[in-house]
Amino acid sequence: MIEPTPFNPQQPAEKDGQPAASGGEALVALDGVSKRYGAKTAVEDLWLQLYAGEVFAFLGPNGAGKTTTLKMTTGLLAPDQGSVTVCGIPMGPEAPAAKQGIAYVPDQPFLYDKLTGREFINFTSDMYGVPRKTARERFDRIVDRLDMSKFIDQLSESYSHGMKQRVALAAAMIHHPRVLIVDEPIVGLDPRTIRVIKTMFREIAADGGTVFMSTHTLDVAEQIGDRIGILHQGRLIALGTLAELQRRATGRLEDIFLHLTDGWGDDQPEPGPSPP
Amino acid sequence: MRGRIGFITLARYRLIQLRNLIDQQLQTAPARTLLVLTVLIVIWGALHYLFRRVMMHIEEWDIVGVVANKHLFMHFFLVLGVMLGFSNALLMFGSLFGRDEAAHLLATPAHPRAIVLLKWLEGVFLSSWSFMLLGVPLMFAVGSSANVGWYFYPLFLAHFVAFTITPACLGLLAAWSVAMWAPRKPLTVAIGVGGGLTLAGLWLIRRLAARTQGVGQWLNGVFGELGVVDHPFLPTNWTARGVITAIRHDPENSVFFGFVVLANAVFLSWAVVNLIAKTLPTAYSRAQAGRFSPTIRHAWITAALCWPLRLIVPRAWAILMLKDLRTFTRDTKQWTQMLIMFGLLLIYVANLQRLPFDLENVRLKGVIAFLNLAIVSLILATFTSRFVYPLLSLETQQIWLLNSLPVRRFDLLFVKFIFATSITVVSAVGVMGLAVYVLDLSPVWARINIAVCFGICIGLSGLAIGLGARFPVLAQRNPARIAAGFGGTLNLVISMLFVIVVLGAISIVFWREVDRNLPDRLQPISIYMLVVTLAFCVVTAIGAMIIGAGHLRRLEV
Repeated sequence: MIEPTPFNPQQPAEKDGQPAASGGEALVALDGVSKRYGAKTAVEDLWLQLYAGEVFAFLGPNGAGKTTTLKMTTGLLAPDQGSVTVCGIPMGPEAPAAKQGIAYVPDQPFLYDKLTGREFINFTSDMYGVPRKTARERFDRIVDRLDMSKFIDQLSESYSHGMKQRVALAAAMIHHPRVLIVDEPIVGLDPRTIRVIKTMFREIAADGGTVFMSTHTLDVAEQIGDRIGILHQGRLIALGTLAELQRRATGRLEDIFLHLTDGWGDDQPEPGPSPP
Repeated sequence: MRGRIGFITLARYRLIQLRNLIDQQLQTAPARTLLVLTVLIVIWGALHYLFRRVMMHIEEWDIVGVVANKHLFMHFFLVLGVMLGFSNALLMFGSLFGRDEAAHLLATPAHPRAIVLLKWLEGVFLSSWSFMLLGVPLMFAVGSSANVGWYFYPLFLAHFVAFTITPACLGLLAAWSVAMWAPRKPLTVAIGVGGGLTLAGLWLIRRLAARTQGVGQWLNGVFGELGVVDHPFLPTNWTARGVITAIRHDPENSVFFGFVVLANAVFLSWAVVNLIAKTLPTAYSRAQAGRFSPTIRHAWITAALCWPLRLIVPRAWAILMLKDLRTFTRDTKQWTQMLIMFGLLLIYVANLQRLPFDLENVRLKGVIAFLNLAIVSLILATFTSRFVYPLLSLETQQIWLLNSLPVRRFDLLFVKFIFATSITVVSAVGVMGLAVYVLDLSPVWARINIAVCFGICIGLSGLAIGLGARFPVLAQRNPARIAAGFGGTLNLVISMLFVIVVLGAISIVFWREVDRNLPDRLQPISIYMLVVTLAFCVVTAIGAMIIGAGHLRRLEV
């Protein structure tokens, strides 16, 4: 058995696992990013670039710092060190142009209780300035694909988790984001919807976008992830395609994950706000 | 590319949410909505009647000059301003830096200024509705007593609205300061500010209470000591002058002062909203870092407090009470507000002897004791509506866990009832106990006061728990929003009615016995009224909890 070694942050990501499909344009760049909550370090010196045309699966045990990384990428959290660039625009306190190209779906999707699914999606398209006609066409298509017509006109307070997740994903895609950031996208979804979501993620990548996906579902990461990053205790310990990771440990992604994260300390809760 | 969205889009969807809420209420529970509106109007009417009676007495006592004094209005607005500012700071901190919606909006191209403006306007509305509820009937009573012109009514409303803006700005500024510079120590800041205000209040009251003149001179002395409040640059001064000039048939000057307040308030809000919008992402990020929970090292304290319960109640009850106690003590927002509320009351009660009243006069003592009971009861009604009512709704996300426990639904409510009653009894009976001690009431009357206060605690806690179970707000984690919803308003209205009924019954006892100089042997009718009132409190509590338990049993979450 080989000993797990941390991924060398000084080694540019392009060398270790740039996707074959990539045209080379980095849509997301995390350059030496660190985030601390008091004495606890959530993310430490993270160097990561995501390219146009790829689906990136971000793995890690609970509390590894995945959600913190996603929130820094969306601009919700400011890194203590390092910088975040999205679509070539530095993500700072004033980065509305960068946010225009992003969509973020947290692990607990947020919907307004007193809006219907339709109103929520319309709200999102208005926020991103999608022309009404375009929004209507996209809306019809996405509602049909995610099979939401039965509940789309009900108040979202009556939705199950899976329904909320579908509406949140639909709203996230209504403005055709270049970078889709999703935290645990398939939790609570039925197999049919999971299949549709996976197809949609691949379509975003095929259109030259990037999907930055945090997940515990290793099968999904294995199936649709062009590259996989494994974060553990705030450090990126592995990065590359599935084939590249398999060179470090044999077996399926599950075996690689368990092997790499084994013996790296206790399972600490991720600091920061706990999900509602 | 349209990079930033504006306030109008956000506001438009807020209005759609409001429309949906109203539609939902009218479609699913029209009778309930009508009932609440009717009761609300009745409460407004009752308050107006009460204030009108007080004004009539003031006229009889010929101290109109004192009451229609601008100083009195200045202090009235100053106290309201402090309360509004504090409640707005709490609301804003939760709304801008704590809720999921803020994260949702900040991840979009929404302009931070639009977010801050929307939240701030919501905060102004949510924190000032009780001010309007109490203030409007009061001003109507002033209007009908002082023979004012028609323009007084729109003018005082305009003054009220203009006045609420400034404390709301200061509250927003305070919340932002905590997020920026003390995100890990909001508790310390709240205790520091609350403690500082309490000490300042204590110092002032002690200083002022040393005076021994009559009421009129004493009031003038008080206003003289608090000269800073009279500063010509304070909005309280302008608003007070605006209201006074409206009463005194001088609408031009009233409008002038109104515009002075409004112009300054608008400038202040422009400056504050822009300042906070500029730094909102940074402040939000810092506030999130402050939400990191440290390791809890003092859990043994609450465990030790609840341990004796195991000797007298079933083990499951004791465990549930321990959970409730821990949840309560770790929620800073909950208990600091309660502490400040009862802290101020304690200061007042502790200084009763220093106030310029002749406490040797037994009749006056009886009147003061009754008024103390009324104040404590009304504060308790607000307290239970704000803090106790949301308890059940906050459990709805974990209701599956509670449902799977080997505990009956009624027991679950009963445990919460015992918890709520314990807290209200400790606070309210503590204050009343001190009051009767300071007033030096006879043992019989001391017991009557304490017993009625105890009964009111039982009734209000039972109502809040029962109605909380009957009208739970599902999946809402913000207690303030739960309390501000339909069920919370209904609970507040019914609690106020309950207090009015109990105080009405007890007032009969007090007035009858005050006329007889509070004898130790009560008339049979007084004893009968007391027993019936206390029974009414218990029956109200049990009835509300039975209704709540029945609904909770049918609730599937």
